[in-house]
Amino acid sequence: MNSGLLPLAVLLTSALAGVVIFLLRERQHRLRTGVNLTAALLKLLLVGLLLNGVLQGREYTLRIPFTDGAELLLRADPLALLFLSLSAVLWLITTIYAIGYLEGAPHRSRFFGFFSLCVSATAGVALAGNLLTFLLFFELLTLTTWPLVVHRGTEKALRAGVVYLAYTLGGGTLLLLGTVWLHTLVGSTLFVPGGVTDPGGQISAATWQAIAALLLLGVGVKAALVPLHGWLPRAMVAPAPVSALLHAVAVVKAGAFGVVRILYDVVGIERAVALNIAPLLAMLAAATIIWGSLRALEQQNLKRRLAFSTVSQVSYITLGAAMAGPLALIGGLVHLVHQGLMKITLFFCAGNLAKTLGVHSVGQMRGVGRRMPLTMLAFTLAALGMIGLPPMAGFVSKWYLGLGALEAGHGGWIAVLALSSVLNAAYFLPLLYSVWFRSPLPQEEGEWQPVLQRGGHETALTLLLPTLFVALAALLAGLFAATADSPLAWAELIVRREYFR
Amino acid sequence: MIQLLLAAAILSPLILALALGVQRWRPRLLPLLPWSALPALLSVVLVPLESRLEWPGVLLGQSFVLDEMGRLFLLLSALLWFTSGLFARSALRDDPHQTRFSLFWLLAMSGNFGLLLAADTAGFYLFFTLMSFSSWVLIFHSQSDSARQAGGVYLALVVLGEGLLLAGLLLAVGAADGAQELTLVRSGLADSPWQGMTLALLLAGFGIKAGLLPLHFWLPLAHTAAPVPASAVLSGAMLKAGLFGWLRFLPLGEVALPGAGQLLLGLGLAGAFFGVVYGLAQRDSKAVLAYSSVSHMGLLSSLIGLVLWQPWLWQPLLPVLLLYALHHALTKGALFLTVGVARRAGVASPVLAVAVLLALSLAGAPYTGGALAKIALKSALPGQLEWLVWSLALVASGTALLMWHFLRVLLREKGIERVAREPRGLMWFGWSGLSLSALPGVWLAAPWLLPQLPGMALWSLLWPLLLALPAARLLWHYPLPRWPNGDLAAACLNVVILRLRSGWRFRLPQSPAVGWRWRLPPARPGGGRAAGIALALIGVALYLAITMR
Amino acid sequence: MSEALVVLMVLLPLLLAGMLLLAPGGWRQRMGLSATLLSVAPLPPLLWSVWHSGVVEVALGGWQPPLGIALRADGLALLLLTLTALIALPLGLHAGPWFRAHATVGGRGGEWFWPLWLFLWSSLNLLFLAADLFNAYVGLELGGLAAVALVALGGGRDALQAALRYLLLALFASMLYLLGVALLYGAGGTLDLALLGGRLESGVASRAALVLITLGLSLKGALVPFHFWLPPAHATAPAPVSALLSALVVKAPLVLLLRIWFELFVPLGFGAAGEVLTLLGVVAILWGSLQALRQQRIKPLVAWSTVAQLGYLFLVFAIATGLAWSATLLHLTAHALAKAALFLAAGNIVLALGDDRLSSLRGASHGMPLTFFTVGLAGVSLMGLPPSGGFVAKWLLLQAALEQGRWLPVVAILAGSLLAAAYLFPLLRHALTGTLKPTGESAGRSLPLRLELPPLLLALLALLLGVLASWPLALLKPAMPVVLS
Repeated sequence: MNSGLLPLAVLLTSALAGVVIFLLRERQHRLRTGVNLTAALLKLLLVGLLLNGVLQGREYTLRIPFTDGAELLLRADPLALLFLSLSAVLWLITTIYAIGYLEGAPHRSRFFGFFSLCVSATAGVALAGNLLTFLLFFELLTLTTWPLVVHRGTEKALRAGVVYLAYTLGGGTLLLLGTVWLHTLVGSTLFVPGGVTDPGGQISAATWQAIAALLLLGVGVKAALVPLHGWLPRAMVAPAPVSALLHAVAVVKAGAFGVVRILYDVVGIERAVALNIAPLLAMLAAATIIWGSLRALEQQNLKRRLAFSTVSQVSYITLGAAMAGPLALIGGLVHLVHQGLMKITLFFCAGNLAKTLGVHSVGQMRGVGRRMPLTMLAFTLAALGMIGLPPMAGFVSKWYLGLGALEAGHGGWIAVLALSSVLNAAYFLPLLYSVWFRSPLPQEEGEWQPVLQRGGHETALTLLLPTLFVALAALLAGLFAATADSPLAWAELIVRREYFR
Repeated sequence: MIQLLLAAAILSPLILALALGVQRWRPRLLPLLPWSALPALLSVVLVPLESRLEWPGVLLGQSFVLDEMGRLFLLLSALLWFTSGLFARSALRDDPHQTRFSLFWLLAMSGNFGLLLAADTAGFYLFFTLMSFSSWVLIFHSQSDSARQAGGVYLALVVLGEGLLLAGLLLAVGAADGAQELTLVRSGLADSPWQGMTLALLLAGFGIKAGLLPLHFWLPLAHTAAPVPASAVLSGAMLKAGLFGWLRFLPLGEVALPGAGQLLLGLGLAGAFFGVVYGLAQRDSKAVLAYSSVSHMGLLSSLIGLVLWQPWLWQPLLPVLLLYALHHALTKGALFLTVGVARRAGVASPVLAVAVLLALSLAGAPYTGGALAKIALKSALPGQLEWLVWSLALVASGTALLMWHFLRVLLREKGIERVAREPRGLMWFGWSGLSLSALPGVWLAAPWLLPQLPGMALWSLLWPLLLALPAARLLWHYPLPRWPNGDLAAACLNVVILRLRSGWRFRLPQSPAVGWRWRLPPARPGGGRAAGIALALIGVALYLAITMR
Repeated sequence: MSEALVVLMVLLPLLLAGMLLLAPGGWRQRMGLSATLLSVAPLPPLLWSVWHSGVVEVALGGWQPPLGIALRADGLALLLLTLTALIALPLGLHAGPWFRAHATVGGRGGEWFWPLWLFLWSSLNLLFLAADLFNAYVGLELGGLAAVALVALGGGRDALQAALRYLLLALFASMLYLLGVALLYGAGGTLDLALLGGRLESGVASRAALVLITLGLSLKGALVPFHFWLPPAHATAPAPVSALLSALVVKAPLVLLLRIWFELFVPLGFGAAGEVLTLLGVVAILWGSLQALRQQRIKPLVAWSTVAQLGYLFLVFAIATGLAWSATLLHLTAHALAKAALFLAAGNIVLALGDDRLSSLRGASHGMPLTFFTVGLAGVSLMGLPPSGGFVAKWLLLQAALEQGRWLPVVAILAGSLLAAAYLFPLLRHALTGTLKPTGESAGRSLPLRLELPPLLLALLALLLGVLASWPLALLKPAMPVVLS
């Protein structure tokens, strides 16, 4: 079997599902659900095959000619698989969640169609083997997520959509310029561990800096680096599964993943350090970590608070990559998965609250722990993980980042990590206190609208089970981080096999 | 079998806590609360030293070991958790939130045992964190205003401490080239490139838990607000966890660190005196005991500081330090339970007798456990540290005064929480058990720690007590004004919390929105003349561009 | 055989136009689609032949240049013929139903559309295939006249005014061009493009010819500041006509200019004048986009977008490399497909809403999701986002500009695509708002599928071009002017 077909199949499973779903009628929800779940399961299977193959050192590449001298390249390397597996697993979970969340809502065909396309684009970003392919799927991701962001169609959603497009298209433009520039100078944009080779050495340091700045800022918009993060909190108007997907899997992660790719496979980390690109990026990431947490502290809307928390947390990945050491990179990469699991849990919980009780703001959450104990248990676990408390997954990332900072000789970043922990605690713990230990005000309890038919459980099972599953995953990823099949082990494999041999 | 017991010591409270999640099982499970400390207690006795338990897949490679120091701390902690658990089962039987209390009690207990047994850094941090955060719920349990404030202050400091500790532990592990094993980390710190910073972070991080002077102010607030059994374990077991952290991580006895050592010594001694003086101005028996804890923990801290400064004292001082910790933990725990008994049952003469005995022991009266610790300490200190011996004697004198003050306050408080029925059997059982282990128990344990017991130097033990008598008489007539519990720092923090609660929010600048509008001049249709001019101009430009090359 | 095909490409539409003109009114509309299909018929074999055995040259009636009419089907011509055909087919499907629907709301012009369009097609094909400058002039002039007549089909005062202005301009521009051609003939003694190249010398006459030809063709090509006629003409014409004008008619003079410029003027050393054109191209991109941004109506917005997009096509004159040349033609193709799709979709929307204000779009997507989907896809190509043809063109253009170290075009290209996103957004912003708010009696009227599908087809072609960009590039490669390759 041609080994290039497997990555293509991974892309196509969700893309074709998306197209089929578009063609379905609104009321054929059973068929739509079937298509959705079949595609998601199939994709999971294919990704599993791919994972197994890559683990055994097999190569999977697919080349498609694009123009003279440029080609589209799909390639499954360990780093790609890290992101791909995350997106495949969480796609399945989020699909189940979304089916429950949007039950009875209008325009579901459109929603699930774009949803599937968006996952395809994410898979493309993961599997891209050169910068051109990356750019292609990166922009496709923008296009396919915009309809999801404005799905509600309200004035507010539309405004958020404008902001989203403005930021991401602007970022895409920078990325495009950087990519073309590099292509004209080097004649290739292939991802090579250690960075693109510059055969004649004719590229000056200033040019490298400019190209790196363009590329990194381009992906930095999606990675929500301050001051390019403004779109993220506004995009919160989208339905909860979308927010979950946006924050945990697709958009923000694609940005962070892009940062790693560009630093390690395009610019090359040694060059990035020598040209002061990596240290500057690390500073930007550190500023983002602190700023995001500070902004989260003042948010009263739950999803906005979570959004700023994402701004802060995703920059851990950037920081880990920019610290330019094996341990730090392990920390950053593993946080790609860990943050995904924890943040998707938080957003699922926010969705459960909104859907079941009509609770949207932090103030309404008083005593909600007694009404929805399992949901809030998941929320608590994820929040503790965000703070970085063991044994949650967030602790493991933070631990490796800290050790990595020392290894790279920049112990000062530890202060940022510690401060971030403290700030995370400052905006999560009072919330947890009021959720569990305060009793709801009588009038607020009245305001908890029974939005959903629950059928004996605290909320619909399609909402509850995915939530519990991801929370459990976030717990297990941390608790059993030292086992051979954990995300941590995979991140270590990536770093040892590809970047720091 | 041995490993199973060790695992059970840590896991049995956790499993019980998980099982409490099932509502139907709760009535049967709640009475098991104190008994889940038994595996730990049995481990102390049955598990041979240096037994290891490895869970390589868990967290970052979890391992446990029972070593000499850990065993002593496990002993005192398990005793405290067990007896206070008995007390708690009885005292909180009618509490509406008893499930919640039990749940977090179990979690905190597991954290406490786990951190004592953990042999790797991440595991230590895991259990330390588990204990710290779980005890937060125990502190604000009553959810009165003062309890909530105490909880807030405690939580703020715990979070700060976790941050400092994370940074400190990372630095320590980084200096040991990423080794997780505690012994390696400890020796790595001896020649760490970031030694100063690591020491500062660890001193402050554990100092918060140990009630080191400028970071102590959560302690009296929390002890006063928490239910009695929680105060007992807080003061007895959990404060010791901070001390244990120092003993585990600081390169004691390996390298001389005069700067850090003198700082800790100074802060510790200052705390020892401050606790006494400030405690005398309290009107709540638990607050008095809490400040006494500040004082005693200060004393222990100063000894650690001394060893940091002069590492050759490590060998002679360690057993004394352990004895002192054991004595203080059990006695202070018993005193707290006594407060509970007195408040609920009134002060009957046996209760009073025990209270007096405990107080005397804490003050170091002859033939008590306290005296044993004191004498041992004095004989372990080298001759040239005469001033330290004198200071310790003065502290003992102050403690005696404070204990006298405590008894007075206790008598005033008798029966203020009297319940309809007499305290139940479990409560008596717990209280008497702890008191028994505190009074003769320390004597029994002492030979285990010290190969030869020093003789009782009667006079040197007595004069500090006698010195306290005139001072007590003075205070009788001129009592100190009432100073706020939690002293100044807590008051400041309260202001912040109050302001936050009253809706004070800070505003950060918003990120720029896209949506600005601009106006262009309206486009006029046509414009033939302008186009003509443009045509001519561009024609000229084209021509010039060719010719002027 | 292939010579006959080349001739048929020009003659067949012309003959059919004549037949339809003579046919009774009702037949014209019925026969329109068949005539379109018939006109496309010679293209596939011709394409096959050129792809496999290279350029086909025809001297019409056996007369050799410089006297006779010479046609030359090279890769460039074939690309444009194919493009025209690709637009013609969906347009043929769409125009009939559209004009019928248009007639029900009082619109006119359906019966004259077909003959005029076939006539236009014929002259466009002539222009693309012309091997000599005079043939090209004939194509240019006839095409211009047909286009004017098509604009006038819209009826109404505005349309007539726009048509009149367009007519005057077209005549004036053709005159400038003709003057230039006359000068070249005087200097070189031939009109054949290939022969002329060897005979011209740098002198006042050839310089003046450059100025005149360039001015004439830029006027017709609506380069800023000569764009003033375009928005009214394109905005008032019936939707299928607008699509033709924006997609093909404005491109024709530019193709001619590209040929003359790189085959005659650049070898003479006149390339420096390209700086002026590129500068104007940059201005066009920015000014056109900004104007599009402030439009309140759908069709003027799309028309201004054409002004902006035409600016890209003028960037090549200063960059002047083979890559830039290919990129420009690819952009031309991508834009033609996308813009045709957009105009047809806009026509649908206006037809359904009876109103072309942007503000009435709210909730309009309800009855015509496919049309809005088309707008979205076409928009993707116009913004130059992957995986569309617009993206590939932009990529290559950027690459060419960067290779030459020309930063002004780079900035303009990037700014242009961002601005395109900004001005197309109002069209799309309500595409997903499901709540229908009826604004008039025709609001929410569902469109038949045969109106919705053709623009979608065009938009999909624009998208497909991104994936299959290597085909047109391969076709263009042998046709590249010598100075560039």
